[in-house]
Amino acid sequence: MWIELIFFSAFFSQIWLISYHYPNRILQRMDYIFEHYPADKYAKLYPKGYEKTVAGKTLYKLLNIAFLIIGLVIFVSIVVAIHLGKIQLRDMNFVPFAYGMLQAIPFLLLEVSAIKQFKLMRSINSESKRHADLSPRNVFNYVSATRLFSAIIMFFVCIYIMLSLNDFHLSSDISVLIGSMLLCNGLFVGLGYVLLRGKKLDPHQSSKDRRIMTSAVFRSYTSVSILVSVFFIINRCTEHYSIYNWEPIFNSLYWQSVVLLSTGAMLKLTTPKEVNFEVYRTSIPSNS
Amino acid sequence: MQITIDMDDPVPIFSQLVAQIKQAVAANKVNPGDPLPSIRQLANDLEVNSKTVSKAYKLLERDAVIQSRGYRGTFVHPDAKENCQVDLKAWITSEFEELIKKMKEAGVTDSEMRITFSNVLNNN
Repeated sequence: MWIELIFFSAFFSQIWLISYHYPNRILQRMDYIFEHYPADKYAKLYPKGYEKTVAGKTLYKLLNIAFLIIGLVIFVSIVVAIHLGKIQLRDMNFVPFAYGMLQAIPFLLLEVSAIKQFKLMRSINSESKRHADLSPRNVFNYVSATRLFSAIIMFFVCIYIMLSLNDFHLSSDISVLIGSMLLCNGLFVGLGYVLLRGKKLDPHQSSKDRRIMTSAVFRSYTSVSILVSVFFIINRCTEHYSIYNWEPIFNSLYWQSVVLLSTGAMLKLTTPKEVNFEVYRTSIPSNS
Repeated sequence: MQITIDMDDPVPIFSQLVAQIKQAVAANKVNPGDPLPSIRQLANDLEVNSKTVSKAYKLLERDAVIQSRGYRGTFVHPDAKENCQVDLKAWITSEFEELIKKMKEAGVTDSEMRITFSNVLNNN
């Protein structure tokens, strides 16, 4: 029974962390910005208009409440079903993963909305003055060599372990796993390249804030890349050593770790009090 | 160190870039041997065409203010501080003024000068 208790704790923690704790922290941050940087003075911050931004916030809040309720309903159903002996823990391995995908929807919508907002900011930006740093940007300005090489080494270690557990036979399921890892890490490399060499997403962002944001994103990418490798190793180990009961626990902990190391790290490394919001001010009053 | 360009300024963007990099060198804001951003990075940051930045870099390289070291990138020239004080535009103006004065004294007409100048420029 103790393994079921561990699963219940892990799954409850997943529901609380991803659908309550982090959404609440993001909503608090939005409220702070709305309160301290109002639309009448900081119009550049609201390219879609204040009302639409508030509507977006409400939608984000409602979606998270809905997924929190769905999560709690799933949780209670699983507890009751396992208690009554109708299902076994090993049948639940897809639940944390599938529910995790559902929980990711509001975060995904938030990201898409931010990208759209930046695009709109760039299209309506009428400022004639443009700034640039006179120093080259390179990946090691934002992430330590140890961290980056750890992610690369973990990638190869993961492939080696996956193949060794399969007697170095490249079966179709191993190919799919390696393909997903390549896709995931390739996406990080592509997005990292755009951040490093591409155009500024936010045309008004100060160079200091851009440095902080880029650094936070690179840290998050490398952490998630390491985590993906660890997850795939665990995934193959549970199958190889037939410890299926542990799989739903690992799946749940994996999702939580991903959010902790991506959204959590971003929230920790970028605080609104340290962001230069003056760049979004509509008209900067003269000193005289 | 940040540089700023003004899109509404009548001065061409490449000239603004050349002037600002020279000013940065003269004011010790960048030192000899310091790496400079790549053409693509600077063009993306300033949202200008990369050919504009390339033109500015070529002029700075000609003036020995910066030097390109192949795949390693572009760096501030070791003698950049002295070289950025040299105003090639002022030098060429004074040279031409002297030459035109001599030509006029010899009775050469303006159109003869223009045609000859254009021929010589095209043949070199």
